[in-house]
Amino acid sequence: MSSKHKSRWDTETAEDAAEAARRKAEKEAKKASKLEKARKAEEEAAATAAARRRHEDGERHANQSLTVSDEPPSKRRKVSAEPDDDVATSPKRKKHASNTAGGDKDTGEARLLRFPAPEIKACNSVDDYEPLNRIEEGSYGIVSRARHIASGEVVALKKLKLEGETDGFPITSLREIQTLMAARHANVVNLREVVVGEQLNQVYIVMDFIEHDLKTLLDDMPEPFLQSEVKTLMLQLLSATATMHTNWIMHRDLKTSNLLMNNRGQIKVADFGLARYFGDPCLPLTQLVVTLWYRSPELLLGAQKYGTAIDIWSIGCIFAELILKEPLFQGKSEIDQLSKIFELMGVPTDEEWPGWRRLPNSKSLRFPRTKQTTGHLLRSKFPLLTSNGVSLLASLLSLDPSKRITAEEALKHAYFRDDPKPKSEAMFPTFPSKAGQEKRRRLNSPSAPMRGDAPQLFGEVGLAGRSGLFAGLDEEEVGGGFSLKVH
Amino acid sequence: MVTIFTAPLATPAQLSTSPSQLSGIPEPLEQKLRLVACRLIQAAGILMELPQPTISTAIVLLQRYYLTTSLPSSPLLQTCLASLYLSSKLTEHPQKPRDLINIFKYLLSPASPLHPPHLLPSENTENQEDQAKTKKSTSKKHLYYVSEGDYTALKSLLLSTEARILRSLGFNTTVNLPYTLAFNYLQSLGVLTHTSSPPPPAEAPSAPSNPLQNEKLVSTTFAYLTDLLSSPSQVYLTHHPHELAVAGIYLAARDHSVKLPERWWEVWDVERETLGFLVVVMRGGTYIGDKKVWIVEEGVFEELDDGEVVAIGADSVERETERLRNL
Repeated sequence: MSSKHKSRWDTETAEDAAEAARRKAEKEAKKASKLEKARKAEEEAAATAAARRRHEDGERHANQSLTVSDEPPSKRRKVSAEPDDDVATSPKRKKHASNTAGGDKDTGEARLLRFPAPEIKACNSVDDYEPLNRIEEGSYGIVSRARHIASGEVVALKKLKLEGETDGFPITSLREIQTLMAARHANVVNLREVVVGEQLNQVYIVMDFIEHDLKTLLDDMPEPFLQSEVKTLMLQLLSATATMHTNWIMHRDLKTSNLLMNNRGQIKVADFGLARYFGDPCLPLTQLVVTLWYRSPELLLGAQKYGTAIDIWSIGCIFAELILKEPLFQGKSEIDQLSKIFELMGVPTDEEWPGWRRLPNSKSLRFPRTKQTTGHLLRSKFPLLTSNGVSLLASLLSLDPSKRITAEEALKHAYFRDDPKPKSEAMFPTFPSKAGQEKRRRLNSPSAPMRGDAPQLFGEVGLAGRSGLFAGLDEEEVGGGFSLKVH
Repeated sequence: MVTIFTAPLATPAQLSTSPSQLSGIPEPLEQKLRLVACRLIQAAGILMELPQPTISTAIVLLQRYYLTTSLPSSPLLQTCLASLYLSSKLTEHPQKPRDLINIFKYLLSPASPLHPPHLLPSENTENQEDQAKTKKSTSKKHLYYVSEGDYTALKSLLLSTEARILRSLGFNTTVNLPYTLAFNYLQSLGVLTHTSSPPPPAEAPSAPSNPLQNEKLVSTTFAYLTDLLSSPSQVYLTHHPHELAVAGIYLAARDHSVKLPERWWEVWDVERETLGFLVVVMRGGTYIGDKKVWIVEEGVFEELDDGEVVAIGADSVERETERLRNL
């Protein structure tokens, strides 16, 4: 083998040496196999003996416990240190186990995982933070920028509105804190801690401060994001969503103003004010979730049971918004929203979405159904998007929630493998931070729904405007609702 | 990081010096009161038809809370109410404060099975202060229903205690219970045959084919885990859920003579040491053992031949503390 660049003489000697080594190895292998055989036989004998014993005094053995383990164990003690043993065994054996528990002295000792445990400790005081400036105020709370006095780090401080609460700490805020604690991900805003003030109703959530939100950024950018940038952002959003969904968390209010972005090309999902845990099979949940423009057709049609597909719809809307630089469906009311959706995506046929006609709100609505009104028009709406991009958008915006793509599947979509490749985070442009003391501006999108009764829809969905899509961008009144928005 | 495997655990310092003991409550009395709190919450949860995870969460929250807060500063009744109220919200089965208050009133009334049969209200009054005596001699109605004034007072106590619980836990309200893990582990051990889990590995012992047996194995495991909640050793504060789940399965499998593979607990990262300890704790039972515990709101602590009467009222606790100190 190694003879090519060596002399013949060397080859001979090498071969000799190899031969010698082989013989030696053979001998050793024989020896080892002999030993192994003996050991196996011993082991087998012990095992069968143990099995027999166990079988014989099954009941007695079952009743024997650690608490009574001081009975003479001589009969059942084993001579070998084989790992086949029960917990209910002699105290000597137990001692042996305890001796070796820490290290790996016993070769049979498995290496066990250790789980870290957070401490049980009380909240810190809000006085640890020095307020800087107010960022945003909504019905769910006030967000301000603050500096941690000890470390000097700048954070976002969200004060929960608890004044009017009659039922104690609101269940929505409990969900917000619980889900935010559970959904740790590079693209989910980091919850640092919860701090409190003197009064029992002064509770603040401390989060990392992030410079921008995507909505403001899109509004202020002269040009939309490049395709490569859109891909990176979408991958981040989908991966955060996939993590949330595998942890049984639904966000229920994904929209561009809830996506924060730092100057290092990373977006962070924020505002878990409507998030909650879900189960399988899903239970009837409130329909009043997700900001209108990002609300999925099954919610608009009044489905009482819904799942993670509602988040995926919102992601589809965000995807389109990243390309268009403006929200995709800007409905003025629930009915208007539905008609805008159907204008672009087509009125669903019974094959496309079986059972959609049975949804509560769809009974009271009349839809024109001709050949012209079915099938989506994404291709003409997004002429510059690759065909894979259109296919991803279409599967994110699938009208039937059961046919909608999942976040996991979407991450593997061919669109992300097409050229241009997703841009590296480090190569992202930076933007001037508007987080300073700028005057606040009116929100240009409707806010998240408030608690209350689900709307009943009546009337006719006019699709007359199917030719002239998105005629005007109306200034929406800011109602309640809260959005993390940096101005 | 919150996962289904980890739980916030108490530090040794927190366990060795409880705030209640620092404020003068003797350890046996503290254990007794904690046990009574578990019983009350469990009973109230059953009456309210709450699922066991909601009840268990309430008990764990209460145990964690008393790591940082003393019994005198947060009396038992309002703390039980608040922790059950909070856990009903956390586990998505929200309850009304009024329902909780009514149920607890019933549980502490002479009509309740928790009330000592030998201590009828009329006898009870003899031990009470003069003021209470005159009140009770006229009518016993107040023992059975909550007046509007009492309700308002108790509700505001409930809500402020809820806020205090949240603060003293740092709003980390995640309680990972071992039930789901235990069921999962039983499935992977291949001892639940009628599930759709993959067939048991070759080296696993022959699984019991009797579905009743399966059901028993699961319910015994769950029973061990639920009983463990009221154990005086508070292992829910010192051990992670996977360790509790493994210990529960170990004992249940032994009770039903189900053979499990060698050293199966190591698959779930549980040391034999830990398992041994938990098994001892689980078989150790409660502080009171098999004796009956009767609970009264105000009154005396009394040791009987077959049980014990425990009063939860702040005054009674104070008197009992005094009595134990003088012993």
